[in-house]
Amino acid sequence: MVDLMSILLIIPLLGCMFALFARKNDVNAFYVTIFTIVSDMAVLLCLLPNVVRIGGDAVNGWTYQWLMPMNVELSFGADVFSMLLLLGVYLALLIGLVGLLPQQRKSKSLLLSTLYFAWCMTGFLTARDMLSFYIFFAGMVPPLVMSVGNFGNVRKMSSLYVFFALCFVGALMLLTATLVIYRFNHGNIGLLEIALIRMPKYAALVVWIGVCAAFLSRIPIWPLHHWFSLVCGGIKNPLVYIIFNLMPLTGIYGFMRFWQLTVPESAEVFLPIMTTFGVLTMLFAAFIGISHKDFLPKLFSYSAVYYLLFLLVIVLLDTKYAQNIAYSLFIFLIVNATLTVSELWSENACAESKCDYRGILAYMPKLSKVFAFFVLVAVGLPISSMFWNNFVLISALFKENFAAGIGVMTAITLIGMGIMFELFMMRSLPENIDSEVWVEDISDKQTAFFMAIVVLLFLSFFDPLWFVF
Amino acid sequence: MIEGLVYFSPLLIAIIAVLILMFGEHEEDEQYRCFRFSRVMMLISFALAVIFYNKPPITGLSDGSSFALVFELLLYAGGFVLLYLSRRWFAAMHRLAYVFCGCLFMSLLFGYLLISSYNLALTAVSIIMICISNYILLKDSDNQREISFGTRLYLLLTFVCMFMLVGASVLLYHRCGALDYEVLRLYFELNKDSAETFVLATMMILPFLFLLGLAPLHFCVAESLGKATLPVFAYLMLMPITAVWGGFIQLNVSMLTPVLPLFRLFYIAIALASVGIGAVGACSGQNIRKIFGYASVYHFGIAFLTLRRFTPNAINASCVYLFAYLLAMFGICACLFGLKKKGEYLFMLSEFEGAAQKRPYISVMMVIFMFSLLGLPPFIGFLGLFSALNYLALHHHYYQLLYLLTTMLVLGYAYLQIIKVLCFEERKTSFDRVDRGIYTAILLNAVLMAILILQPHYWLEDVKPLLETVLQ
Repeated sequence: MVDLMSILLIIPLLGCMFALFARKNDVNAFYVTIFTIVSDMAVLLCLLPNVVRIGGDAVNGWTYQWLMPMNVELSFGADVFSMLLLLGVYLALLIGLVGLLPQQRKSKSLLLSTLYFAWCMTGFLTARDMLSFYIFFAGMVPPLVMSVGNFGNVRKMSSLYVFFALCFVGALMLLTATLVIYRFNHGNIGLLEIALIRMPKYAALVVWIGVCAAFLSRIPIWPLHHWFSLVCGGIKNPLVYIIFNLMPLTGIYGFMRFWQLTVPESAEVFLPIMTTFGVLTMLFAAFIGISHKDFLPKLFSYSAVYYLLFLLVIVLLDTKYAQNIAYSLFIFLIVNATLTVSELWSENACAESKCDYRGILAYMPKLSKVFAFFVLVAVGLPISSMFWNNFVLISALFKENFAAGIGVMTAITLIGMGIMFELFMMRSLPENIDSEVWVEDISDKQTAFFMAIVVLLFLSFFDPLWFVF
Repeated sequence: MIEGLVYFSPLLIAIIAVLILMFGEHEEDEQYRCFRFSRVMMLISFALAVIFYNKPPITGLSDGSSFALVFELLLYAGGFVLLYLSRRWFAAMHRLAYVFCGCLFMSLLFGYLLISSYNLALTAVSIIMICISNYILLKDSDNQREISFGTRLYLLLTFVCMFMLVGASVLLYHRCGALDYEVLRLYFELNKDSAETFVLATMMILPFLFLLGLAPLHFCVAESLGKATLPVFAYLMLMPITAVWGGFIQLNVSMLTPVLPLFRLFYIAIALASVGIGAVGACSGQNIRKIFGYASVYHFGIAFLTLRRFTPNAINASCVYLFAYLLAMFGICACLFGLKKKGEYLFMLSEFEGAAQKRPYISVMMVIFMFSLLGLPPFIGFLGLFSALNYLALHHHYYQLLYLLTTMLVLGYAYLQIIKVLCFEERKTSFDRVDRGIYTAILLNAVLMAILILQPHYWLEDVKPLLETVLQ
């Protein structure tokens, strides 16, 4: 367990080193990245049975005695929740890598950013103490800024700065909370022990505000949603889009870890405000999604709605439904990544063959099948474990707060209708087929890859952890 | 006599080097010989300084302590780095380096004396000589026919510093009959409430603040940095700072302790003003050296804010922050030495457009150094920043903490501007081939940073007892 956990953290760093020294203008770095991600997934799959056997409790894995005289020991561990999210992140990144166009595969800076981001995500999701949690949370800022700045067509300094500020403010807020905790504990502390620290009310409030603001800065909740859409609008690289879309996951995970630990009684008055903002943003995002004519903004709205659903569940229901959230998020990450890649492929095919975007899937039967399956999973049809788990989460939400439940259900229905309609528009319509137009479909290898993921999702309907032996 | 001469030998070597370099007759084709000679002399001086680290270089006027040794080592490291990097610049620009190397030795010599000084006269002479060597370098880096306004201003402020230090020394000698720190400390202890004491202490502190480039005396240094040549820029960012910082701590701890409470508010104001002006100033420029000049004002402001109590923890926290700054700034200087077009080293931000496409390694490292300066983990600057901010949090300075974090966002804009130009813009012109030595310097810096971030106790814990000797 200890060794596997350290290997899990070291592999992405090694990958970074190999990718850095790979030949320029070649696909070596691309294969190194794929190999690194797959290797880490293999290690993760070796770790999972141990974690599942122990159950919901966190398993302490590896500690690094960083600064012993200053009482700073970085500890890493795992539970089912974090392991599933990590697996979801790796799969999403792998899908993004497969979705890269041949020219994009030669970009070393993108691949380096991806590996570095994967390392930070691994550290963040396995961190078991405050300082390492902060280090990896803030450590994500450089790869996010570099990849979005480089490949997100953020040419305006103002948009780039808004994105940077968004990430950086979050990091600084968490730093403030860390410093206050450090001040009262005289050293580093495990995440689960934070609730045991005795601190004055004002200090507890500062910690709560810092932690909340840090995680909210990563979630597209009002008024931050506009900044998110501003940046994501220009991203045309599937991998960068997926990395950008993983940002809210860090916020959700942060809330999951901290919510029950840090909320002081005095801060509970903010709870209804947060719920209202969450539901209103969900409805707003759903309406925006419907009004857009392109699939990518709809997908962004879809992911915003679902991330907010998970946030509301955590805020209103504590961590009682952690397992369900983990299962649902795992499928959600994969579906989101696949839809992003499929959409960008079809957009690229349109641009190359100069045909109409409407009905493009009629010329690409293989992609059409993949696309249709994932859209159906996304809207919540009973073909993956997402159906069961969302059912459990939404019904619990209804039970806790009926008005919020109505709002959430409306938003989910609206955005589901929106992407279903988009699928209908993009799929084969006989009158659209032009025999003179030739569009290159996805390759057999890519089809096989996505079919494997289809199988993974479908089997999860019967047992969400069927791949754990 | 012989014993004293032996202990003085590191400085004697530096004096010989200064005399030969500044006043010897040189031919134009002796470029490499000048650097080789400087390197050898510096190496000998360094070896002697390490051997006699616990002996005073001038008996009765100075003292050899572990604290002084730490700063002396940094001073020598800065000197070696500058010699290594500048050689390339002077070779590329076909300019003679004797004045530069001479001033480097002069700064090393008086920096060494300043750090180990226990006598106000020696401190005053050291400060004045460092100011003069800075001025000579700035004048040398200006166009030969025209001396810039910044350089003239620097000379004027050097005279003011000279006047203040000499004035304070004469007055204190008149009052106490000696200029040893211990005697003067007693004088300050007995007269700590008088206005004259306050004025005398201020006259001693201001020259240090000027040399550190802290607000409101920053404008001259920042302006000069914007126009200085690259070797002079690197010199001003690395060398005098180290010596002056060491000397300033020594002065406050050994002599001004009784009057420090009177200056606490003044120090806070200076530090906060430096942080604010540094962050805003860095955003307003298009000249990359000026941007880093203002950024250094910001970073010194943070170090100063942490230092102001002069307790062991304060000294340790500020020194940790300073070491992290020096390491990152050395990396940035090395990167700037690696980026040139048609033989010209670049000044303006627009000239760096698309550098990442042609020089990816240098650009990436420069970005990493800037993220490190911003204190983002897992880079080394994080430990420096965490150390400084943790110190403020421990002493309940929450408003100052909030102010620092807010200004950090402003400084982030300045660095982001550079990152955008370096990495996100399209390349318009080509960049010259980079010397392998530059890559070596950057790689060494990166390896050092990696070691120190993985094993931070080397500089966070092991150095602490050495720094605390200044309080004994």
